[in-house]
Amino acid sequence: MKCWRTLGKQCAVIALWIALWALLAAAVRQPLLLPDPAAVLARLFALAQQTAFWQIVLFSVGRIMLGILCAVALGAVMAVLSCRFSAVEALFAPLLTVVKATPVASFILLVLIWIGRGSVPAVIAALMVLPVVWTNVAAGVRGVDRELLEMADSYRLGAAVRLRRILIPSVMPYFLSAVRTGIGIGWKAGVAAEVLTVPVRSIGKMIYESKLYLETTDLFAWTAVVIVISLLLEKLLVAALERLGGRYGGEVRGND
Amino acid sequence: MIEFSAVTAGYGSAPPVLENCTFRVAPGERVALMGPSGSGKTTVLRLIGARLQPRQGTVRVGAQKISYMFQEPRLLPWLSAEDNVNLVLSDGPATLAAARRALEAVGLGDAAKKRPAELSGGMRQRVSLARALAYDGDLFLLDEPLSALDADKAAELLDLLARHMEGRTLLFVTHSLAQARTLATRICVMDGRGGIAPLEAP
Repeated sequence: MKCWRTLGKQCAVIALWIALWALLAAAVRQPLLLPDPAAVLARLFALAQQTAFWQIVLFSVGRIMLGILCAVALGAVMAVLSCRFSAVEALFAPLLTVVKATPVASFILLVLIWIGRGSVPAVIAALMVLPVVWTNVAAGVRGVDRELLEMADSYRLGAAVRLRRILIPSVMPYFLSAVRTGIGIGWKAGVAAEVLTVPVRSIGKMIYESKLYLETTDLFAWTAVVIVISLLLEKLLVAALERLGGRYGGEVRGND
Repeated sequence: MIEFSAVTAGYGSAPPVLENCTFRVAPGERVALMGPSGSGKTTVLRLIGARLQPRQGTVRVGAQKISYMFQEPRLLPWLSAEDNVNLVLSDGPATLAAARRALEAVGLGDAAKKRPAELSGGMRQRVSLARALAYDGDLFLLDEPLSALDADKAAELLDLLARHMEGRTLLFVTHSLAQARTLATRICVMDGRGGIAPLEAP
C-alpha cells in the first residue's frame, strides 16, 4: 500500500513537471528552442520502431559498459595491490589525483588524438570509473577489522577461508557502492565522449547530429533515451548487486 | 608447557605492562589470572597466543594448537552462530554437526542460525566460548569467558568448563574468585607492578 502511495506521488511529481514543460513550450511557441513533450514522445515512439535505433543503443551500451567493467576489474585489483604494497600506492597516488582533477573534455580530446575515435567512449568511461572503484575498494581493504584478522591468525585459518569469510565480505559493501556510483558517472562520461568523437552507431553521434541540424525534438528524444538507459542500467545493476551482496552477507552502501 | 623468563612487555612506547616477569605453567595445569584492570592479565594471554612479542625475555609455549577466546567475542557479523563456530573447524559441511553440538553445549542450540547482531552480548560471548571449545586446542586461553553472563548462566557454563577442562591446560582471566576457585588448580595475581604472584592453590 505504502509502495503504491510512493509510486503515485512520484508519478504526480513527474506529471507536474511535464505539465510545466508543456505550458512553457506553449508559451514559447518555438519548437526549435523548446519542443512540446508530446512531440518528443511521438519522436521517441517513431525511433523505437526502427531497427537502427536499437542497434545504436546496443552499440553505445556495449562499448561504454565494456569500459566500465574493465575499470571495475582494474580498480579492484589496483586497490588491493596499493594496500598491500606501499610502493604501488606511492607510485599511483599522484596519477589518481590527476585523473580525478582533469576535466573530462581534456581526456576526450587527448584520447581522440592518441588512439582514434572508436575506443574513446570506452576509455573515457573507464577513466572516470577507475578512481571511484580504486578509492572505495582501498578504503574497504584498509577498513577490514584487525580484531577479526587477529582471531583468524589465532585459529590458523587458511588463506582461502580468510579471503572468502573475512576479506571479501568486509570489502563487498565498499565495492558495491563504488560500482553503483561508477556506473552513473561512466555512462554519462561515455555518452559525452561519443558526442565529441561521433563514432558510428552511437547515441552521442545522434545527439551531435540533432544539434548540428537544429532538430531540437530529436535532441530531446535522444537525451530522454540516455536518461532512461541510465535509470535502467542502475536498476538492473542494483538488483544484481543486492543479490551478490546478500550472498556474501554484505549490503549496498550508497554514497551517490 | 609455558615458560616466561624475565619477560618485559607492553604496547607501543607506553611504559611496560609486564616487567621482568617469570613464571611457568605445567601441562594439565589450570591457572586463573586475577588482578586489577590494566595489571597485565590480557597481556600474558596475548604473549602466550603470539599476539604480542616481548620487549625483553623469552616466552616458550609448547602447544601447537591454541583455543583462544578473546575478551571481545570477535564473531564475523555476516555469518550465523553455527558458521562462526564451524569457521575454525573445516568451514565445510563435514564439521557443521560438531559446531552445532558446541553451541548446544553452551545453551545456544536454538540460536544456531542467528547472526551476531540478533544475539545479546551474553549470547555472543557464549558463541565465542563454543568456538574455542569446538576447536579443542592443546592449550586454552580464555579472557574473561563468563563476564557478560548472568549469575545462573555463568554457573551453568562454569560447570561445563570444569568438566571440559579436566586434564587440559588452561589459562583464564577472571575477576571472580569463586570462578577461579572452581576452575583453577592454581590462582595467580598480577601485582600491578609488572609481576605475577601466586595467590593460593584452591
